[in-house]
Amino acid sequence: MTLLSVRSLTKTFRGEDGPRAAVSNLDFDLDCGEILAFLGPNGAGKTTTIKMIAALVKPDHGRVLIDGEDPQCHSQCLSKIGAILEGNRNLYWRLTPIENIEYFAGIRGIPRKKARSEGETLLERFGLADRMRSPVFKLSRGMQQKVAIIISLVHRPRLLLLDEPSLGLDVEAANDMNEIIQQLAGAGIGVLLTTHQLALAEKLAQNVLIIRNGRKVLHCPLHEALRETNRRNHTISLLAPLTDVQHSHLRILGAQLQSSTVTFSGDSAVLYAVLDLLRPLEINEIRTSARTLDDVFMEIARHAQPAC
Amino acid sequence: MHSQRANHLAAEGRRVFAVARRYPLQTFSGILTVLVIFISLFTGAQYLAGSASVSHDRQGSLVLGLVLWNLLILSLSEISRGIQAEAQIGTLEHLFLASQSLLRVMLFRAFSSQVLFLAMNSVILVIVSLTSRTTLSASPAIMLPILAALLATNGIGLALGALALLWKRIGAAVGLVQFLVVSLVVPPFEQLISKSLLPWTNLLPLAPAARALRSVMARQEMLGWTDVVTVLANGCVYFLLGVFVFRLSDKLVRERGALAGY
Repeated sequence: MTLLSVRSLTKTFRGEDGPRAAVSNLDFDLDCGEILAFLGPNGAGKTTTIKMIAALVKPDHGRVLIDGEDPQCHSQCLSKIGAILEGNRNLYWRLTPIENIEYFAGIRGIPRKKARSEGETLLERFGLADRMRSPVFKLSRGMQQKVAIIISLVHRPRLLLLDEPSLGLDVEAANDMNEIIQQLAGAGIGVLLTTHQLALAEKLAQNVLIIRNGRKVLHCPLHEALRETNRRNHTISLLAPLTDVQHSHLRILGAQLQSSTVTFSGDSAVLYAVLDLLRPLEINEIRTSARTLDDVFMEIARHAQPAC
Repeated sequence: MHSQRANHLAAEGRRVFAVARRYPLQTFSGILTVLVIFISLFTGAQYLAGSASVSHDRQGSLVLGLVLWNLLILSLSEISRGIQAEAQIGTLEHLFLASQSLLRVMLFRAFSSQVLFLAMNSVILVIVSLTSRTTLSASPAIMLPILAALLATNGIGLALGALALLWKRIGAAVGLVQFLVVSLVVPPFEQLISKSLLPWTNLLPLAPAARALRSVMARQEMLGWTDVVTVLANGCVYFLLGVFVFRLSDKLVRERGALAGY
């Protein structure tokens, strides 16, 4: 069931250098219980898109529908959104976690008693019950991030917008966070996850959306993005340096070259073509690995043809 | 809907008082600083008067003017200061997202803070009156000019908040406006300018409310209907102007995508 529908979303900012298209004609859907990894290089337009979904930025064209309602016109539907926009800075540091939870629930119109009970349950679930009365500035970064997540959940949203939720967390806290995100999606919450940690996106998401310069360049199930089973990453280590002729031919095949290492991506035909070019140099080692989201992302960053 | 707003207002109140309670030194040092300034100013004024006796209503006007000015400058800067602080710590967008109306958050927050300021200034007023041996009348009629003054102040505060939304760092402008407020509240225009010019002061923000307050508390006079209407109309007009400017700024800032950032 479609929870979030984004159609022809466009935003241009007018700066001192003239107009700059932040997002251009972006279309995508997100279903209940889906985790969509929303990726792109810095300045690609991810945060602007998220802010347009949350009605914090007004689009020039296009629309966002959450359960069929446009948050720009029907502000009540913002109650269906929970968001972490900028890490742990979404908290009042002089208040305790439970006071923060009660406050943000209160401004959503939730009675104190209900907010407290819901907050205590979530603090317990997130392992923070014993810290609920410590001022936030005394908590570790991971704990603060968990409190920020709790605040975004206390009103029981249907859509969660997570902008770099694991940024700055240690390994343990990041693992906890991943588990929490999976649990939330399991409970039917749609998650739009923005991260530069592609391994995290690969681990959590069912679908991937990559944008560059505000335009969609890839949107498909994660397994499809990684599917090209014939296409693998190859690294050939040599015992002698490459000649100039070999250099130029290998570059035509898209290989990356170091003094005695050749790295490229492709199917078996490409591998044999490279081996032919390397003849008669002695080979030390050939390593082959499956494609990762990093490879897909880098191909897109290098203007290569997207995977699907 | 009403109960949701009541829950919101209660949440703002709890937040303001939780911080005041958690940091009592900050709260009391605020009161103490104002007291030291007022007592110094008052003693200075008495020294300047020398052996000449200062009339009771002039003394009362001065005390009232100073306390009212303190209440108003605290209230005036509350919204813009709040917006600057929220932008700095990164909670501004969350406030909008959670409340669906930044205007409502700022008004409810200003109201909660002003209840605290009113309590603090009542303490200041009592101490300054005792130390200066000034007797002030505290009839219920003072509530109307105080309400009108707070309405106008919140209007100006919202306009400053609108500037803070757009440009974030507006500390210097707020400082300037705070001192402009002194010139509207402290001088007793009714004694300083000719009667023909007096009606024009009704167009100035806060001036009618400050005059009405002086009449009631320092001179124990009753307010006529004309005064009541003028004082209320002045407060409401400036408040509504502030609301209009704030809404305009809110719309502009979301078009520009500049709600966050500092």
